[in-house]
Amino acid sequence: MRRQGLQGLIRVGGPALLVPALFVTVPLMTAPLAPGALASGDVATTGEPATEQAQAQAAPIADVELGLSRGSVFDVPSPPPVVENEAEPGESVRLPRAYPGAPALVPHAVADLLPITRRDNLCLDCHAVEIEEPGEGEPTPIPESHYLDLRNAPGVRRDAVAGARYNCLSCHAAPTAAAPLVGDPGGS
Amino acid sequence: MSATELSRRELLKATVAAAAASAVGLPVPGSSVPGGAELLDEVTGWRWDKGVCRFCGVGCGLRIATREGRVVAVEGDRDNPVNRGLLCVKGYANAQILYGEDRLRRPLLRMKGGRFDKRGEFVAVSWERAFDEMERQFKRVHAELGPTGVGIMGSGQYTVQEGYAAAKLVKAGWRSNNLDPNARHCMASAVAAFMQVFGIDEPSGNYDDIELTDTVVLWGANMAEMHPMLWARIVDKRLADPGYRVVNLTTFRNRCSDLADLEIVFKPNTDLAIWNYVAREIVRRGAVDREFVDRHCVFATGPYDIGFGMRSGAEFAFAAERDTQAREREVVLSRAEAIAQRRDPAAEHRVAQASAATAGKHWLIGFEEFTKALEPYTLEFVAELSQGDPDEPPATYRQKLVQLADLYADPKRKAVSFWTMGFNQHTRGTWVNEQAYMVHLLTGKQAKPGNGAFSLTGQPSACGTAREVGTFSHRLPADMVVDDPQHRARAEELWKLPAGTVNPKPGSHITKMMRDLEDGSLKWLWVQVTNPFQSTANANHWLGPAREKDNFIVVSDVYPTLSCKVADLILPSAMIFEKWGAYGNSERRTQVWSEQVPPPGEARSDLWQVLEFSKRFKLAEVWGAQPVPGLEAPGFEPGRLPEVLAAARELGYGPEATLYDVLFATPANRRVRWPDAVAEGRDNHTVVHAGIDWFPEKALFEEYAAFGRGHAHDLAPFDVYYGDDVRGLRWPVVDGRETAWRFNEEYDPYAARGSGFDFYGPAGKSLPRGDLDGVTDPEPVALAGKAKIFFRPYAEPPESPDEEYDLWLSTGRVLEHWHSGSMTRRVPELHRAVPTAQLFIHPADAKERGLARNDLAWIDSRRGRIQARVETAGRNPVPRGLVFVPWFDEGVFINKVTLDATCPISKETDFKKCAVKVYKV
Amino acid sequence: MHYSGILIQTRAGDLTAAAAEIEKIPNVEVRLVYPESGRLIAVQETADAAAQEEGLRRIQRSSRVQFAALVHHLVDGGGALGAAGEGTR
Repeated sequence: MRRQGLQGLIRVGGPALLVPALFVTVPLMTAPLAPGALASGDVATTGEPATEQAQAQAAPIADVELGLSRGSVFDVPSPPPVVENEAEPGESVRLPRAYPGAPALVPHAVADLLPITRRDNLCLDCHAVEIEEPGEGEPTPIPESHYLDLRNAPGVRRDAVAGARYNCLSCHAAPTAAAPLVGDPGGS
Repeated sequence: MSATELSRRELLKATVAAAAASAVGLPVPGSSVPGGAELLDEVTGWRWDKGVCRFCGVGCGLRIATREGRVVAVEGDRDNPVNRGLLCVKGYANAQILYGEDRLRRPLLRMKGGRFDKRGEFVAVSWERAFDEMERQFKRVHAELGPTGVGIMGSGQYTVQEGYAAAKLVKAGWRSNNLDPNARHCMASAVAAFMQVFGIDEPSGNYDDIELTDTVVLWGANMAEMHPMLWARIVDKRLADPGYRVVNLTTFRNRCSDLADLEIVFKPNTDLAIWNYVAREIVRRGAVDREFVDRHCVFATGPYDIGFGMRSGAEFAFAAERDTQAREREVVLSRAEAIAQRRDPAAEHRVAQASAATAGKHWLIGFEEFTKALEPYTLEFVAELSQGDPDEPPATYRQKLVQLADLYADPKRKAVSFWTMGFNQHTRGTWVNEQAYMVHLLTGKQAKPGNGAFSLTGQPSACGTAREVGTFSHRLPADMVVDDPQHRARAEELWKLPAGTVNPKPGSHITKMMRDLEDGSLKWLWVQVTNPFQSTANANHWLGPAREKDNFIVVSDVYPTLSCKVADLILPSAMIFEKWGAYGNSERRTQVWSEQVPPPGEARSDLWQVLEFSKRFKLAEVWGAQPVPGLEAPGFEPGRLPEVLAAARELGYGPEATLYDVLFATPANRRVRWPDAVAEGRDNHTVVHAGIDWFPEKALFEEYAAFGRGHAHDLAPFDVYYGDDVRGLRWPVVDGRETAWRFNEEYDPYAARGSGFDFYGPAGKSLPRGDLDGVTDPEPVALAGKAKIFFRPYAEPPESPDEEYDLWLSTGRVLEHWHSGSMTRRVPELHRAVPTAQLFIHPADAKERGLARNDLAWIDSRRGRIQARVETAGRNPVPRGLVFVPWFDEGVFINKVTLDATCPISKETDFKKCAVKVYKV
Repeated sequence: MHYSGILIQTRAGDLTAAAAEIEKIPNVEVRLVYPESGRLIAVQETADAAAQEEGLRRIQRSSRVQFAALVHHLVDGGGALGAAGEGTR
């Protein structure tokens, strides 16, 4: 039998064999499952559209209407300016995560806080703090998981954030003000 | 409270305790909790399974949560040694990429008045109607042009099984070799160098080298953005170990520089000279590992006059690009090139590119010849030639080169050199890969723990599928090639084909397929898992012919890409977790996943598409005599493939048998039954929609694995990869054990006993002797077990900045987006982080052109012009004289500007160098 | 019911005494003990999230506890959930 996850973690074994289950939790997400999506194609196996939606799909689509940049492939579009997030740390509002367990987004401007070097990591300067429940204007504390060194010393909590997590922007995206190009994949 | 409920609560508490301990990395002693996992799944409604990241070549392990037919979350797999629980910003998007609003759900065919029309608009049709048109168009083109008139463009994102099925259909079924992957643009140069140096493809080392070494040198590899979880391992090690050294060699500053000890910004193409300087220093300082070199290596070189992989004639050249294109035929050496090639720098040297068609030819030389060739690469010469940042003090730059040589030459240090597209996308890509091995072999720092030159791949299965399966126009599975009669015979034997079925003439590489579309020699094209009309350089040449000429283009994809806009027929594909599959990462690790959720609408796996389409061909239609222009091979009539129908009948295949019967639904494959215990009740939509009772992904995996077993490419049995404790295995897997370091007797069962090191790859192991100028003794010398140390000279690219086009253009990727952005740009978090591809330009260059940050600028080359927004700060502070534009954004279509020159040996395009001008809109 | 897995770092000293003190908190059980690091894993079973929060606070207030953190959370029945994920990455 092959099973992942909890079967692994409740199995007897050394730390290296343990499978984690940090997020074996029921999702907060209440978005409809595959909004309108999973059903739509079922009708078309005969090639004869049978529902209104399929009929709408059957209306001809010009190639210029397809894809992320509407227009002809022969056009030269003018891309929009980049509107950066200029919110200062402490003035920004926490952004929702894509799903439970997804990394937090950076809600404030980062340009002045970069680069992250061996000597300077301004992300850690603010966020490597112990705050039980951050209030307005307080930094989101780096969670416990980040103090664990899963490669070199599993099970040991270190005083500093694990080196593998030092480059914060590898995992935490810093959004600009751009609107999504197509609907939100989360359906939320 | 009932007894059942009590035990249920007890069970929940035990599992919650165990989960909590595990979440913080604490061991869980005591006994397991039988039934706990099932109970938790039931309570949460989430089902977890292992998987692999859809994106880069690192191959991070995932855990995927599904609920009611939908992927709801992913997390890094702590048990996977690749990434130990971490994922990058794209990795987390694996849960989201399936659910963009505009997923393709039905086939779309261009039609007018109910019939296919190249000028028509897209109309949703049934799969049957779609295949009918594909078949009709295929047969029309096939009748006119034969097997070379049709082709498939594939991908390093194909699953192993999909790539194998496509290769078998094209090579065994259609007898065309026109199958080539986008991976040609990605690591063909790495492959060519592996074959030439070691006689076998793929790295000797593995990712553990990061922790085992004390010196990491990046050459044209922005790992911080492109291989972020490997970079995390390097950073982790560097922060913990004060003696660890990280060097970043690059043509512009990037995020790796932020944490590196030493940054060397060099001028494009001069990496060739820097390597030779390092090698010269190693020889000069007596740092050559004589014993290693004497026992395990030979020296070699090849011709210099090999062109740039451009078309040889100017028939299709735009007027403005004729001067660049003329360098394919003749080059006037620059002063630096003359010095680097031991010629008189004061004289003019016009060099006809006479070896363009035989660029891969090479011969043995002696150590004395080798050192003589290195002689011009002094510190002074190389420093002056290669300095990439005009604002850096020359003395500082010179000192950095010395430090680099110190690190490589120090016998007490280990060394790992990593590279990616900076080397591979290079008109001398094969050469510069070989130079990395040159330095590592000279110093004996190869194929040992913590030591090795290590080529990284960009795509999740560039190794596993494109290379190992061999979805290249010249390849067969397990490193075999179509132009070797023994290799063809072995493929025909394993595939149970009549002798002479496989076409001995290599097909068109991916850029050549585009050129073939333009000149009308290829008129039917099927694109799978790639977006070539956005990703191929010099796009203005291909878009027009694709839309306006008499051809038929099919694009299978998950979202409407730019290539879909160019297509005549769009087929909706299933995505990664909607099908069964396997990927192979950069360290030879083969990893698998199960189908987690159903594909939307009528989307189907690419494997299903290949299987279904193969039913449309009777043997009589494809296995008769076929024209192949230019075919010349022993045992073949010139220009013609033989009829093999009679021989097929002897094997039991009548002329009415279909390619599906002969290639896929073979008796052996049909014995691999579905349902299978390994699926544990999971679905297989490919099986359901094919209406079969066998398991094609497993059957084809095992059939493919037969090519490599016993040939140093051994894969484990299919089911083994699905085991609880398996997080992929690094091939060769022999007697159930993976191989960590190849060629090293201590670790590799294929290395001969007593050899110490055995570079056993069989390709190119018989060479003539010569000197630096050519062959002097054609009698071949056998080189079994040896690696080759190549001398390769500095050469200039086909196009450099001049008075009019005064800036270098380099293109590449960004952390947040994958390739052409078709998946990642539909994930709001990723799109919002990097909404458009910007023009990175030095503030002084911008100012000189009247440009400020966020202004619109024209980027103009001999081949096309586009607009982009100016960025003078940010993550890529480029030096004066060079601009950088990422290529993910179809709205900033930079490949209209780039040059389609390739490495003449590997045929991989150089996307990193061409000349442009920039001015205000 | 809400089930929470809580990581507890005890202050240096008598780990057994610390475990005993935590066990006194209603609906809290110490399930795993790590003498070398002075850490405990406790499981709490409560009817709702508010009670769970309160229980966690009581653990945190214990004089023998240096820190305590919710690292795993599960809701049985009802289908709603608590995401330990929030804030742990």
